[in-house]
Amino acid sequence: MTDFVIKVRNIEPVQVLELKGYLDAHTAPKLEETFQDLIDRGNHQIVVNCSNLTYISSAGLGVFMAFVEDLREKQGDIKFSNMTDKVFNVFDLLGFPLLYEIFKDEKEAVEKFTNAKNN
Amino acid sequence: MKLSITQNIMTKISGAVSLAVAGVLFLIVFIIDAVQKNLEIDLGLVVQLRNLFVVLTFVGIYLFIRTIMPKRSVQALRLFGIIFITILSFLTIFLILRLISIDGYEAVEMQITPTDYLTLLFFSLASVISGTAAIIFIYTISQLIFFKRRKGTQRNFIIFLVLLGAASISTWNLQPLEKSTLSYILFMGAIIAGIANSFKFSWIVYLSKREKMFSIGYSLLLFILFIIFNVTLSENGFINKSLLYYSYPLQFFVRIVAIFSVIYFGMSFVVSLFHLPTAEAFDRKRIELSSVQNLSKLITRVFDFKDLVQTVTNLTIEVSEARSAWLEIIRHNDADGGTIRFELVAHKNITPAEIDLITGDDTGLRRYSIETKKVVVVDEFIRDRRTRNIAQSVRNIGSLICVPLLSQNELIGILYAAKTIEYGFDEEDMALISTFADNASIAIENSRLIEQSIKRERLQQELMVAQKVQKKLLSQTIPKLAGFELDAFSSPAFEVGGDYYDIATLDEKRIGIVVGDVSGKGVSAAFYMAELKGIFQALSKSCTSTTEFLIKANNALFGSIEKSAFISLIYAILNIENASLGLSRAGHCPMIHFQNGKVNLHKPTGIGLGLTGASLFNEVIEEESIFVGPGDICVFYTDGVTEARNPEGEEFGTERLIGTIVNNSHLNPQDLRKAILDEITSYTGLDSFDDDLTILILKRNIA
Repeated sequence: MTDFVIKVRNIEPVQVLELKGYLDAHTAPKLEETFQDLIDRGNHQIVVNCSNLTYISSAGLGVFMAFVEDLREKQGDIKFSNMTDKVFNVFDLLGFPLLYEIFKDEKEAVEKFTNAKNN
Repeated sequence: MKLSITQNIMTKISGAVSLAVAGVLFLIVFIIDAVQKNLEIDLGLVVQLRNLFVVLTFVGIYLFIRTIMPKRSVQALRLFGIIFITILSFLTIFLILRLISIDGYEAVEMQITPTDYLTLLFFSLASVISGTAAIIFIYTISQLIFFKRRKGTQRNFIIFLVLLGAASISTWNLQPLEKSTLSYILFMGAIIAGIANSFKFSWIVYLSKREKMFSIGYSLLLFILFIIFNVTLSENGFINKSLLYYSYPLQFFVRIVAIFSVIYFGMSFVVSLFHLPTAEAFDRKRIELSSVQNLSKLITRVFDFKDLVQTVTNLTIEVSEARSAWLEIIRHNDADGGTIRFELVAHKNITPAEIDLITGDDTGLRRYSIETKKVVVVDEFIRDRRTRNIAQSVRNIGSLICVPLLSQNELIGILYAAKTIEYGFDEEDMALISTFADNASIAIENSRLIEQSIKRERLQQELMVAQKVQKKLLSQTIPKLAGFELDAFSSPAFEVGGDYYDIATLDEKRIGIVVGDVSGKGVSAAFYMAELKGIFQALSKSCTSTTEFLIKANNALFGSIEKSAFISLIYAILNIENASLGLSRAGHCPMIHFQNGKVNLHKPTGIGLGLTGASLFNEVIEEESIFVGPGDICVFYTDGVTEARNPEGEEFGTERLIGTIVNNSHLNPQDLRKAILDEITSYTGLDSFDDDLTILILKRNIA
């Protein structure tokens, strides 16, 4: 139940987090740590790839809320991609699509960052 | 307890009786003597009886002494004290008697006869006093000899006593100073037996070095005093004359005891002297032994951590004969990722400021202990590379030892001891302190575990209180509504939870229904749930629409709660008169509306409370209005219902929930709720729910 894996890929200047498994109150601290680590090292543009994320609880959503304000202040953001319907439903229910940009594909999300920079 | 008190009283009574009997016998003997002096005739049988009474007098005195003397396992030095006081008293009395010139007697050869009553009284008293002193000596010395007795000890001593008694009795019918071969042999036998018994000095071995010094002094002093005692018994002395007159057997007895005492204390002096060089080594073994005993004391102190650590510190000083000692315990800081810090929990004969210098970063002693977990010894505190810089500020330390306290190979603290001399800690000290530290670690760790479990217990109790409080926060009574029926149920995953529901009568025709879910679980969620209750109670009545309430609630919460926390809420206002239901949603699960065999999910747009500021929140929030027809059912719930999992990890889901509602739509709200819960538990296979779970059902009556 507590299987949760985070993979970080660097697609300059964007950091892609691949989440796998269950993101709940037990595993949320792990994600928190990863975010803190990325921010400490000056990475502010983050894409969260949810293709293998099977479950997300309110505690998991809370992690994004904890960091997004800080990142936006630093001209960064958190964008989501590749959500399964189930995970999207959770996001949708809470109104997250109104707060975050959610993309079908990781590439689009990364490009959104890089394009914005070029413009 | 009662028995021992009774025993005590019995002992005292028998002692008093013995003394009284002795006193009476003494008087009888005195009267017989007085009569005999006057009549100057041989009373024959009466004399034999008188001599027997003399013996019985001393038996009485002996029985009395036995009751007042300290019982077994008394300290050797205390026995010395008793003998010392006795002989000193005796010699003082003797000196006083010497000052009063007593010459009321006639002496023909050694045949002594008092000529006046006063002299007779003096003679009698002097005899009884010396006899009593002799009994006290023999009794006290026997206790020294019986210290750590072995099988033969008692037998040897009894042989001595028998010979002593036999020698005395053998003179029964002899004239004073007349010697028979038998009495001579017995006399020599008693002396030899006395010498044989004088090799029992077990008590010396168990004395500390200091006590051994005392023992040497005492023995020498007593040796000299007993020589004086022997001199007072010399043939022309007053005491000797008294004794010879009073009872020849008694004189024999006292003399043998006097000789025996000189021998014993002479030996005692020599033996103590020889034991002195090994005293230190023995002391150490003894301390080692007692520290092991003290460790068992530690075990009983584990319930009081403060007491325990202070005891450990005090015992460290005792074990190592150090001047000062202190103990630091590692505390884990859970708040900032488990960094450790050292806390000084006990110290003796050293100030915390001095300790701070020694264990501070300058010396690196602490770091070394952490890294190696080995004992560190600083032999020359003033010159040592590690400590020379701080040596000026810390006085009275010549050498220092730091012993890590380990529990399952984890460092849990460091024990320090310091001596004023340099090179104060040798190999043996290190071994001793290490052994001690090992045991202390166990006691400290146990104490911590006990403390933790007590804390946990307390926390558990507080949570139970919190649970009671929270149950009160959830709507207690469900209002009776004309034409409608309501039911609500909530169950937290832990003791307390983040789910919330409430029903408020806004005015005579409007009822406010709210169901919410605070992100996360447990205590933090419960706090926000309580805050939500406050917000709802305060704002719901002043809001005319459901959106107005949610906007105000979001304003109240956004920015005031943790960034990572938010609340999903669904709010409905039911108008009983026209059966209309206004509905707004802030990120919550939709409302299920069952109508005419069909189901609608109402999910007006709205972001969870506390997620975003007014500008976006207010812009997107929607309100729906529904007509609740006869027989219609409105189900509000939290995600604990739909996210309940079966053993395969699949969720119960909205579809199953809807199916259950449809299948049981004929039931009243309460039974419908039970049907839903049954369905969930049979799906999960569990008796309880592992998430906060809330269901609120509104049903309009058919007619």
